[in-house]
Amino acid sequence: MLKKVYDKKNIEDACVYIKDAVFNKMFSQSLEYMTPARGTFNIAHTGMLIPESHEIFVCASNCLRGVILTAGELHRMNRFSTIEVKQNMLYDGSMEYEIIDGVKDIINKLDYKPRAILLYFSCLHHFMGIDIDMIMQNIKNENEGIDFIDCYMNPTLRKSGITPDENMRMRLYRLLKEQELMDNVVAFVGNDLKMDEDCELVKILEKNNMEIKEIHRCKNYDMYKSLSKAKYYIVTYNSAKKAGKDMEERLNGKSIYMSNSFDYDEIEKELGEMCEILNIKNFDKEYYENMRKKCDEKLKSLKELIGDRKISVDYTFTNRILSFCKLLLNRGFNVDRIYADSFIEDDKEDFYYIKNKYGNVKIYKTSSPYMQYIDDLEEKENYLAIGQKAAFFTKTNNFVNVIEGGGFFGFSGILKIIELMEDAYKNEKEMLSLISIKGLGCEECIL
Amino acid sequence: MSNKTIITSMLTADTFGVVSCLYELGGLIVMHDASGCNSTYTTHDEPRWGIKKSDVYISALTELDAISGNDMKLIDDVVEVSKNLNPKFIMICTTPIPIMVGFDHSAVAKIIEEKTGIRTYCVNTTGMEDYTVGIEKGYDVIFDLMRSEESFKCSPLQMSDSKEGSQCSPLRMSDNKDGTKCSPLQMSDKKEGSQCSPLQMSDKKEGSQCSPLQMSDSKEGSPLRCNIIGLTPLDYYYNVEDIKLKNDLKKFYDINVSLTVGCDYEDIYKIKNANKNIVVSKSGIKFAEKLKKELGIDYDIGIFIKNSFISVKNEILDINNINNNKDKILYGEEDYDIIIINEIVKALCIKKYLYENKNLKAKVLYNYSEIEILDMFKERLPKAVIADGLYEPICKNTKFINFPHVAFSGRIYNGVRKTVDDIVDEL
Repeated sequence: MLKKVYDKKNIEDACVYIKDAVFNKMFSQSLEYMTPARGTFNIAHTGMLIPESHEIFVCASNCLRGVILTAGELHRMNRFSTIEVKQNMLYDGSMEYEIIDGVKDIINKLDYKPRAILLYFSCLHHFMGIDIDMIMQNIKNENEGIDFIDCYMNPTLRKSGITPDENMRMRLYRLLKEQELMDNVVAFVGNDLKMDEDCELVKILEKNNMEIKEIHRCKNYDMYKSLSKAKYYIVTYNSAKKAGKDMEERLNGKSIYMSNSFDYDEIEKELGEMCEILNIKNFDKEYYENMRKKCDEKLKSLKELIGDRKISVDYTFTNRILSFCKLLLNRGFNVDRIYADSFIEDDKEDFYYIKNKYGNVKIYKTSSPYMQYIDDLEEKENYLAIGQKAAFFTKTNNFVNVIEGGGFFGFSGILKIIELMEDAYKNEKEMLSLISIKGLGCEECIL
Repeated sequence: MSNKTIITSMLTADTFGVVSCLYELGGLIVMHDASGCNSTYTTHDEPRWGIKKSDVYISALTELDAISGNDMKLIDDVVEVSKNLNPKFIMICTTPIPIMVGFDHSAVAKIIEEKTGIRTYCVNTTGMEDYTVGIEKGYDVIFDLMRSEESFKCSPLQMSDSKEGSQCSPLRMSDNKDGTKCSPLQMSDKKEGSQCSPLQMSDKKEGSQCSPLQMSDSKEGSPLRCNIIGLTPLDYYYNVEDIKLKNDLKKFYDINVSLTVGCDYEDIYKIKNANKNIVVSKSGIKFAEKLKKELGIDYDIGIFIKNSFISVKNEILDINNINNNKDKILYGEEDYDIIIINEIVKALCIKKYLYENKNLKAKVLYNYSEIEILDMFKERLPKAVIADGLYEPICKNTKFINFPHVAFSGRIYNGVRKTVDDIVDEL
């Protein structure tokens, strides 16, 4: 049973002490609230990562609204079109033909010829059971010279089976065709943000003369297509695991998952395992000892600087949120609030570690309908927030504005985050305006 | 009508129109949707989000609940949240999937109302119509709340059903500060105290361009109280155009209620205290008509440009007579100089102003697709286009004047902050 933190308001589904929580059974489902924090990518952002591609979304106007303005805010309306579903299309049998003709019409009216088109279907089509294979085949036959891939905006399925986010990261690489694999080529797969070039992962690969491919590094569609030459697919984002496995099955390379941990041993272990699989030389022990020492020293200085200032962290900052919290808690930081509706399996061990050792840490359900009021019940304190939602909920301008790990990885990633925390502690940001930007960092990643 | 956009945007949907209209009124508003509607609405269509709290949520509909018809999940969730948040009313608006699976709007509303004792509405927005349809549905709710709150509160059945006396709570009763407990019928019978009788108002020639100044003159100095109807951030940039509109009106009127930016639930019961309604967008016309019929409050349609009230009531009547297709509007001279694309009342006012003051002929377009607009340009290229900035890429070889329309481009042009006065100066 969950302990009510706010008895006076009878709000039992917004907050729980971790000592009273069961892993991923913290909260029941209810109506959902949405914070104004918008930094994470949506499926329209992700699709834009393919250079020289064009997105066509087919849906009702209320669903199109969000993605069309995503493109607008990215200043990429020229890479985005829509076919709006009208009510008659639901029952008069015209849906398939509206889509086929619509795509053809859009291609004819574009002032450029895209190399690839991502055609997004939606919940409506899933419920109607339309013949997507027939549509895709027809479109491919009629438009030679353009690659097509069906993508899905199916939020109705987000709690059953493969999530739209996982699916999108998978579809992003479905345009790649099987070709001869090259032993010395590695592809980073499924990250929204470009992998930080200073991280150990990149450094090891470079040191061993491995060629690194990544969708963010592709200047054109041909470069994107060459991703399938990679023999190894390195996945560092949990939602991209299925994408890596899918590539393994279709393109015959090897998928390697590294969970983007903040635990020194785990980082070293994962890097070591990668080196073994790739049969390349790892950094020596001295390097890692040095990096561990550096991280400890930096964390110590940071702790001296910020003292017992309360810290809040949210899940949009990194998918290994509990690993990160554990790192801080074990070094005396006052991590007080974690904002997450659920955690990934990789964090399960860390969950029970924190539960047993730091049981008074509170977990908040970010989508709870009570979240916009819960802060009124709390004592007003000045938090240092890591992540946009944590910043919004704790109403602080001292925050680290990073999403999805910021492309950081390993020890170097920890060092960079420490620097960002130090900066956030010393300097305020305009929180509300910064967190309202959709797809933080996306515009710099796309053509 | 073409249902495609190639490189431009589209008008926001009916679901979001309802929410925008009711945002400030203290209700529990639930978009019956899986996900996406809440982030889309609160990101692009709702500048008040994060500034002014409102109980706007989604139901988080799942595939299983949709397929199995498990409406009880929604009902239970709404009832539970209502207990904690004690909203003034409950509004559920639907999206495409509930529409597809035959969601029973009225039954769900009835069950929730019975369980909570709180007036509940469930509107059948489809997510496939434009926002003005949704705003109209929002006004239907306001009208119903205005008319029936008194009888609803005092219904013995509902009283006994209601838990903890929520319906007739002292708070809600005392909220009705002006003591107006009479029914709309009584109000319309009641003459004394009204600043301007319906008869007097209707004596005015319909749609004549009488300025608010003339109106106040006719009342021999007594203050006129007006309601603003049809004001949402979707059509009037929040904290920019709404402020201008109110400042302009204040020169001639006491603003009674501003529907629905800068108002609250209690204001609904003050609506009847006005003796004039000023309709500032197409979405408010139906509501104004109802108020005229029920309460005898006359209305005009228009806004101020350069300190003059531009009435477009006649033009709206014309459009209603001409246009069979209510979804889109094309109005104006064939030998036009200017094309104006924006909210229809605003656009008509600009058109009229330009003709009367600058001798420029304009054509007003509403809800035309970019393909249709491009076809029109092939027939006749205007000297200038006044439209939202997202139209600019299709308006080549002509002067383009960016007049942002939130219902089209969301928050993209937040920094532009133009009013109609700025726009007419650019020509």
